[in-house]
This record gives sequence, structure tokens and C-alpha cells, in this order.
Amino acid sequence: MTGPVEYMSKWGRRLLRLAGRGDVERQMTEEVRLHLEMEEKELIARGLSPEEARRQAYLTFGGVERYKEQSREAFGTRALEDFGKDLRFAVRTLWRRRLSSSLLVATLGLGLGATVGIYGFVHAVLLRPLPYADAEGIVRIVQRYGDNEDGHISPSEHFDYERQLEDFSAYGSYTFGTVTLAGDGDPLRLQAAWLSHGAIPAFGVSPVLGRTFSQEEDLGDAHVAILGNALWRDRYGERADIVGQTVRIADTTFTVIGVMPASFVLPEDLVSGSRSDVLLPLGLRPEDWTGNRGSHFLEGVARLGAAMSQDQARHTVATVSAGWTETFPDDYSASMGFAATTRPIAQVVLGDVRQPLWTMLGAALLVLLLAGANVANLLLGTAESRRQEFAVRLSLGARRGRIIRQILAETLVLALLAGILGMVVAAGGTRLLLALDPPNIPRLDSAGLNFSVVWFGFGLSFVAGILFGLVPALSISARNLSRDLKNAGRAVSGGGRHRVRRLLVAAELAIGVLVLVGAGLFTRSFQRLMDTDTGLDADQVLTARISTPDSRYLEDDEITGFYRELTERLAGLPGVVAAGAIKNLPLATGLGDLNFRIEGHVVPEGQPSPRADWQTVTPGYKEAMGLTLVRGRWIGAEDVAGASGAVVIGETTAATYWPGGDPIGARFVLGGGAGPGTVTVVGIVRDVTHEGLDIQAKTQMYLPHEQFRGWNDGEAVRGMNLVLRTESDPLALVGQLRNTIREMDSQLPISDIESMEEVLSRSVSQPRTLMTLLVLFSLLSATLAAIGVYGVVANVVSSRTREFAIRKALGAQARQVIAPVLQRELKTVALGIAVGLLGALVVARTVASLLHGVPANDLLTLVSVPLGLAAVALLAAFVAAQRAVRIDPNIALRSE
Amino acid sequence: MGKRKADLLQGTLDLMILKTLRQGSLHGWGISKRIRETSRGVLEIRQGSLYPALYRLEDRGWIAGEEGLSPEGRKVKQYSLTRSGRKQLAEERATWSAFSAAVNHVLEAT
Repeated sequence: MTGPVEYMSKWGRRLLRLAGRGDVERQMTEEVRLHLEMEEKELIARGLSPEEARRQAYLTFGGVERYKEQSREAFGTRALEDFGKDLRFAVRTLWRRRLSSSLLVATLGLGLGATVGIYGFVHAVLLRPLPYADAEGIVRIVQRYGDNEDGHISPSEHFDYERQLEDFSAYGSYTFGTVTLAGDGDPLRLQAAWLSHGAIPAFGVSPVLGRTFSQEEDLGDAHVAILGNALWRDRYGERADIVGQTVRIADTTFTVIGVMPASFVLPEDLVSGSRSDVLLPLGLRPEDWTGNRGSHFLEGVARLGAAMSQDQARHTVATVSAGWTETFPDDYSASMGFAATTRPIAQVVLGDVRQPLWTMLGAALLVLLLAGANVANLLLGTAESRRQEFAVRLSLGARRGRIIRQILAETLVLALLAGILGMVVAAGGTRLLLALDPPNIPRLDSAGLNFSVVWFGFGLSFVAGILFGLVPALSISARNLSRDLKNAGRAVSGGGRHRVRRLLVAAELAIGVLVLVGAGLFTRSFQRLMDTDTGLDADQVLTARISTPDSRYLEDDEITGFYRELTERLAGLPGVVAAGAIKNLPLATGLGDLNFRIEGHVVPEGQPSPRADWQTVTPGYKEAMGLTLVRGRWIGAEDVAGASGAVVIGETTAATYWPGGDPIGARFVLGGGAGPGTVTVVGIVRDVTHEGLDIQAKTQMYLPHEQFRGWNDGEAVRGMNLVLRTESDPLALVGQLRNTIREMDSQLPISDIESMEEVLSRSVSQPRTLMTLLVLFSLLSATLAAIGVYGVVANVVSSRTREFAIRKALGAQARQVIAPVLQRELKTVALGIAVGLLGALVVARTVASLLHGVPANDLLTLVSVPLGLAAVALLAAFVAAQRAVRIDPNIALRSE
Repeated sequence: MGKRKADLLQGTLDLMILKTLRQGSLHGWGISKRIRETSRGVLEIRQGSLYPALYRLEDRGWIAGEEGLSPEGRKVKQYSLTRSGRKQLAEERATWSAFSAAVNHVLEAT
């Protein structure tokens, strides 16, 4: 009996009925006619004449049309129909005022685009869950020693944690490196991670194929491997039978035991934007590490036990580490200030990017607010000119609510269009931002317009539309009807009418000042950053990374000999000025430090021993990288194995450990038994900002590659970065560089070929991105504020056209007419800018930590921004005023 | 038609329509006829006012109208009570009983 209609919601039924509106109307007419006919028939049957029966039937029915009308209302579709009419009317109205409509859409759309675009990033980076199960329960174990706030864990400490953190549901540690994958095709340089058996369970991730390492495999250093999803896909075509197969890694045969899911990324990889291709067992044996608690290179990760709080976790780890300082006082001297704690994994991954991203979103929201104020302003402007229209409609019986609804309909159409434009702007902006390629922002690559972002955008669009559309809507209908009607055809120069709009303009200018000050500060900060003395010359330098595998380069002199010959050959290439090699490329990688004992110095009890970030270099490096020698000499061809050990130190090293003295000729012994043992300071170079332009260089030292031998393996350094200074475009030499390396060893994988300019540029791309965005936002803000000022002045002036015309007709100069108008606007501008400046002083302080070398209350910015914005605003006011008074008085007076 | 006609209390028409359809589906005229007959002619509703009421009840989902064919082969809209209409009828009935009992009580007390 009852159709599916019964189960639909009320509005669903209404929509359905609305869709078949003609049908319903026909049905109703038919129904009424049937009713009348049957009544008629019945009356005839009772003996009435056909005419009388017809009359009676109509009489008992009542007014046919009246009930039909009542029926239509009872359909409940009336509201929907009206809404449809409102929308159609709105589209027509907006189309008639195309210019101001498109201005509105553009204004709101740009504001939305900025906000939605940035929200897309915030969502991708900060709001999306991390790719681990129950990420809130995962903590990183960090150790503090010396000035190292989040130091690594040594193997002995790792074994202690493994034993003692039993309250945690999982604990593991891991470290990173590179290996070469041989086999079919070119040898491939892979990012590898070595993990203890507890690490993958701590992340709560299971392999998509196979299994993870067992405890026996971990401790026995078994030759088993888990493939990363990308490697499995790219190299092995997602073969399901890969588990159980063998692969050649680092010239050893490994059995594949599993494949990780595509979503799995280690936290450090998330931060650096890289990805570990292959996971291998950590394979540390406790007996190899007894007594060595100082080699910190492991990342510790743990998963909280059931019902364990973050505080409890911190406490547990702190207790374990406090035990060591008592048990091993020699390893943990009081001066180290050693302590271990935990940090939630989200903070580790996202800690550094939270503030910049929220800052960007804040700036974008300010732009949106400004755009909204401008929309309200422009709508008020058009509302002014439509007062008569509404007054007439009200007097003809239109209900007040109806008119408000109609204005809201217009606003909704505008909001929808603006929302669409906003999406387009956001999509384009996202591309642009990704093209700027800011590194070290985890998961940025996945940013874009997804479902949640689009929802956010349209939601925002409609909220903004209704909010900013409501103000003018209410102000119109509240108007005094008779006054508006009386004023029909006669524009008056009411002062109060423009007050709301002036306040809006002042607000726009205030927000504009905020955004502009932000942009100014970040621009100045970036300039300061780029002016930093890096200690090197990145112009026309080509770099590349290679490593001599231990399977084919067995002896130290094979390694050093290879690099000696390679750098000599490279230096001989046409177009190459100098060639050298260095262990860690500045501005691209971190550095390890090494302690040493200066001969003739006694370190006071409780004081840390001298230490410096160490590098091994070939003689050609200084010229290739453009280091500046301050005193003494650089490392030369004479500093070979067997010759007396040489070292070149940085200025900070010299100033720290030889304050006021002359380090040249001083001798010190490298810690940890590193070769060549005792070295003599032969020169001092300017510090290099190795870790970033905004990071103060620490103590640094350069050791000859030919002489240095590692403290743990006693070997020469295998992996080096080649550095070539070229005569012209460095990238033009990539081919020759490849060929030269291949001539010497065709098996050697080459990676990270790029110019030093690119390396440098990438190291500052986060502040550059922030600056670029803020500058874009500030240009947008200034434009919108100018539009706002223009709109108000144009309106003021046009409503006084008649008055101006009379005054001009009586002989007033254009200047005399405009001056008072501009004076009035000057007050508005001054008010807005003053408020904005006060706000800027407060807001700038919250971003002070993101600034480099510029105080938050930077005078230059705080003076130039308001002046510039005031100039723009007054120019807009002047242009608007000028246009109006240029009208011929004759025409102006006749037109009314 | 010299009979006194009771004014239709607001909402009673709805109740009567629902009650009438409780016995089976009917078209508009049928409903009006049934109400007239069962009220023994006392309640002579303005027949036209039935239709807005029908559409209102349909909009609320208490009755459902379906087009069918009359015995004479004419297209005719048949109304029937829906599940929620049945529930509504029970509720309104209870309200009505309580209401009329109260009114009676007041009248008899004086």
C-alpha cells in the first residue's frame, strides 16, 4: 500500500514533490474535480436537478481556489519554491551588477583560497594521524648530555633499556645508513635502517607480507631483510613470492622475510622527507659493547604500557638512566648533566613545523577576515544604492523576512561562487608552495585538496557569506521606510550612514597592518639570513656523493688512494677550477663530534673535555668549497698516512680552547683511539655554518682524509662528498663527473648530484616559504584594504554628487571640494593603522622565535609598513574622489 | 440544512481523517462522505477544507496518497494510513479522550 515515499524524510518527500510540481498541481485539480462530480452525482441521485446539484456541490465545497491555495501551502514545498525563486532572482540581480559582484567574488575567493590552501597543509602535516597504530602511545627516548638536548642512545644503554623497560609494552632502537643493492640492473644505493627486534612492534605496524625480526635474528645478526614498500614495488614489481627470496645487499646474501606497508615511514624519515628502502636487524651483540657506554648513535622508541601515563613513562626512563650515573660514574661525569626522558612521537615529528604552519594559517585567516570585512563593506555599498528598491517593495507589502531572505540568497550565491574560486586558488597555491619545496616539513608532499579540505573550504565560505551578508541585510530592513521613500530620487549626504562602512575600512586597515608587519619582519629576517657569513662560497660548485664499498676496497690505502686519484682527475677536467672531497656536506647533513686532549692542558675536574665537530677532507676541498684560511696552512698533499698528523681548526675552536693564545703548532690527541692519534694544528679557517644559516657554528676541525682512521673500526672514511668548483654552470659538468667516476669504478653508485647553490637554497627554504607566503598575503591585504577605502569614498562622493555639482557650479575648485572628503577619510585610515600597529606589537612577539636577527619590534618595519599602507589607502581615496568631482555639473544636476 | 453544526475544533479534522483511514484506504470524496455519515450529519465540514488537511497530513508522512483507478476507470488518488500515521492516531485519540473527558467533567460539575 505505502510506497518508499513513506520512509523518506520530510524534506526528501518535499523535494520529490517539488520536482514533480506540475504533476502535483494536476493531481490536485483532478482530485477536486472528481470530488465535485461525485458530490453532484450523489445529489442528483437524491433527486435534485442537475443545476441545483452542481450549485449545492460547489457550495458545500467552499471556495475552490482558496482551498487549492491552502493545499499548496500544506504541501510544505512553499518554502522550497520561494527559495528557488530567491536564488534565481539573486543570480539575475548579481548578474545585473556584474562588476561589483565579481569584485565580491574575487575578494572572498582570494581570502578563502589563502585560508583553504594553508589549511590543506596544516591538515596534511599536523592534523592527519601519524602512520602508526595508536601514535599517542609511542614515545621517543631522548638522552641529554652536555649541550646535546636530544642525544642518541649507546648500545650498552640500549641493552639496559631492553632489560629494564619492562613496564612498557614494547621498546626498540634503530639507526640509519646506506647500503648498495646489487643484482639485476645497476647497483642501487639504498637508504637502510637497522632495527632491534622490538622497534617495529613499538610502532605498532605489521608487515603486509611475511614477518618482522625475531629476537634471535636480531642478536645473531642474521642475514634477513624486510623490504620497504617502495623498493618492493619499484624493484620487484610487488611480487608476492618475494618473501623467502634472497637479495644481494652490501655484497652479502640476505633472505627477504617481509615487506612493510606503504604507509610505514620511520619518524626521522618523516622529518627529513626520505624513506628507508630496506630494514635490517640491528644485530648488536652485548659482549662487543661491554664497557663502552659512550658511542651514542641509536634512536630509541617505546610504546607505553597499558594505562601508563606520559608522566609515568618519563619517570620510568629517568629512573633507569639515573641508575647508570651511580653505577658508572666514570662514564657519566657530573658535568655531562646526563639524563634521559621520553618525548611523544608527534612532538618529535611535528615539533619544529607546528609554529610556522600555525603562523601561516593565522596569517591566512587574517586575510580571510579582511576579505570578509571588505565583502560586508561592498555589500553595504550596494545596499545603500538599493535602499529605494527595498523601500518600494516593503511598501507594496513584501514581508521584512522575505527581503532578508532574498539578500541572504544573493549572499549564498556569492559565497558559492567565491568558494569555487577559493578552491581553484587553493589548488594553484598548493602547487606553488610545493614547487618551493620546503624540506623538513614532514608529509607536505601529500598536501592538497582532499575531501576534508574541500569541506572546510565550502563550510568556511558559507559561514563567511552568511556572516558578512547578514550585517547589510539587517541594516537595510531596519530602515525607516517613509524616509527612504521620501528620499527617492534625491541623494543626501548623511554622515551616520557611512559610519559602519568607515569602521569596516578601519578594521581592514588594522588587519592589513598586522599582515604587512608580519611580512616585513619575515622578509627582513630572511635577508639577514641570506647575509649570514656561511664561511664558504656556494657559487658554481657541484657536489655528489659516493662511497667505496668494503667488499672491493679492503685496505685503507685503497680507499684513500681512490679518492686521491679521483679528485686529481676531476681537478684536471676542463672547466673545473678545483676538486676535493669532504665527509659531511655543509648545510645538508649533520656532524658528529670527537673529543680530544690538548697536550700541556689539564682539564679541571668536572669540566667536559675539549671536543669538536670533525670532518675528513682532501687537499682540494678548501679551494673547491671556497673556505677562507685565517692563519697557517690548509691540509696539503704532504699530509699522508705515516706523516705527522695534521689538523686545521675553525675559528670558534681556536677561540674556545686557545683563548688569547696561538693554537698553530699546538698538539692534541684524538679521543676514542681515532687515528692518527696525535695531531698538530697547522691552520685556522673561518667557521662554516654547517647545520644551517641560522645556527651558530660550533667548534669544528678538519682532518686529512689520508690520515684519519675511525675510532670504532680503525678504517679510513668510505663515504665522501665530491666538491667541484667550476668555471661556469656547475650542472653542465654532471656528465663529465659521472664519466670520470665510472672510468675508475663502473660499479660505484653516485647519488645526490646537485649544485651547492641548490643545497644552500634548500637549507633556507622553510623561512623562504614563510616569507613568500606572507608577502603574497600582505600584497593581497593591501589591495583589499585599498578596494575598501575606494569603495567607501566612491560611495560618499557619489551620494554628494549633487552638492558637489552645485558648489562647482558656484565656482568652487575641484581641490576645495575634495579636500574635506579626504580629510574625513584620513581619520579613518589613521584610526585603522593605529589599532593595527598596537595589534602588530602584540602579535609579532608570538612569532619572534621564528625570526632571525630581527627583533619583533623592528623599527624599520613598524615605521615603513604603516606609512606605506596609509599612502596606498589615501591614493585609493583620492582616485575615487577625483573621479566623482570630474563630472560636469550640468550633467550631474540634470541626472536627478 | 437546518441542523446546528458544531464548529470544527482545530486539529479534530486531522483526527477524523486519520480515524476514517484506519478502516482502509479511500479517496478524498469518500473520506468526506464517511465523516459526514459517521457523525450522523452533525459535522458538516466544508468539503474543500479537507484537501489542505489531506496534503498537510501527507507532508507529515502520516498518510500516503497513491494514484490508482476508480471502478469507473478514472484516475483517482487513494489515501491510506502509514505506520507513523497509525501511531499519531493513537496519540491524538488519547489526547482527545482526555480533553473531552475534562470538558465533560467541567460541564457536569456546574
